[in-house]
Amino acid sequence: MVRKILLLFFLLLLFVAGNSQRSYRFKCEITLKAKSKSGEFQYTKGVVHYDLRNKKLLFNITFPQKEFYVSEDTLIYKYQDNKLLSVQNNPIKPEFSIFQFILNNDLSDFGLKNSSFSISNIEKSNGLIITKWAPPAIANFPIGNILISTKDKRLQSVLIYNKKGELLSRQIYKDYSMINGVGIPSEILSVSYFGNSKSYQIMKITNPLVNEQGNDSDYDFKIEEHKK
Amino acid sequence: MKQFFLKAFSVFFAVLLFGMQTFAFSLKAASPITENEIQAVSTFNDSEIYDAFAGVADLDQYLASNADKTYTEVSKDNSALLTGVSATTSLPLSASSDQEALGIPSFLWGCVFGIIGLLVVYLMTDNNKEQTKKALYGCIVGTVVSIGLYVLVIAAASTSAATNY
Repeated sequence: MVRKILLLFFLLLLFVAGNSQRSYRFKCEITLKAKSKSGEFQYTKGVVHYDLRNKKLLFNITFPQKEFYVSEDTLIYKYQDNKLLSVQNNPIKPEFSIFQFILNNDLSDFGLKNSSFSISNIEKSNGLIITKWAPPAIANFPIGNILISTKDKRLQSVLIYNKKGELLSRQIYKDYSMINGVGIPSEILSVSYFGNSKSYQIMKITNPLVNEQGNDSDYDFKIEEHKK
Repeated sequence: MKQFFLKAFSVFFAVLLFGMQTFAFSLKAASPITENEIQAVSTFNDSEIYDAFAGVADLDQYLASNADKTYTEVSKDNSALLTGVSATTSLPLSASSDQEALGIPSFLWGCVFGIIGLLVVYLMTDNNKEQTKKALYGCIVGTVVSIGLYVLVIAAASTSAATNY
């Protein structure tokens, strides 16, 4: 009996120790540059805070305007000078963002592991592990095969095809740093293909911080208290 | 204690066996990765992307040393830096960008969302909602079913282990 209690205690200790190592908070400076297919640039700079326990993604934007955005569930709240300016619907929850993937160390498969895409082939080439993911066999499913390359379990590139085998999007993940056991790319490049035209994006992640202690309000903006 | 470990081993091996079978099954229907695909995924000249942003290189430099400046302030200091630059914020969550391939805004095709996120966007933006809903729900159900199967196997293994010992 004593042995069993000791064993349970030991397992509990392991569980607590494991959880204390878990990454749950992420902060970084981001620069988002986009060039649309019409040639117009969008340039956005700011600081991102994300705590996966609160599931709120906070953007403190400094350029082009000083604005503050909170993404929670399927809504985005926009503030300027501490005043709520608008509330927009947003189809994507923060849980699907790259910041959640980074904290959960799920970035290496682009979230495919938790979808019903299945691995249809794996090959090794030039030091890269290349995985081909096939879409579920459902009529009218919008996306075709997805190819992913990883190196040292770090996502390097993603190619997304449509059903006809035409390339829709290419993403490149570069220059990882390792903080608290979490691999963080410092640059994500992307091209989207629309027939003969393309749009480009670069997202730079600088000064990443994992599990920052204190500054709780930076990670948990109380929307109810600021709904004026 | 021995019984506990035997049960744990049985469950572990049952799950392992199930996982291996699933993996083997999915690879059985494998479609080969072609040379072209290997080339496409492993080699890409990213200078094409950097070159696309040559038009904002000066703005990059300016903002690096003037981090707090807003668009309005930069336009007063040196409006040439903002040639072709939109004055609106572009959030990685924003669905307001140009809508193109599969109805998914190009910005969201970019870097910020995994595949489930993209499918959700597609569901929200597609005109043929009924068909898409079926497709997406099928995708989600598939995931739930696989999790359910694992749970069933674990439960079955636990029961058989309990009966044997």
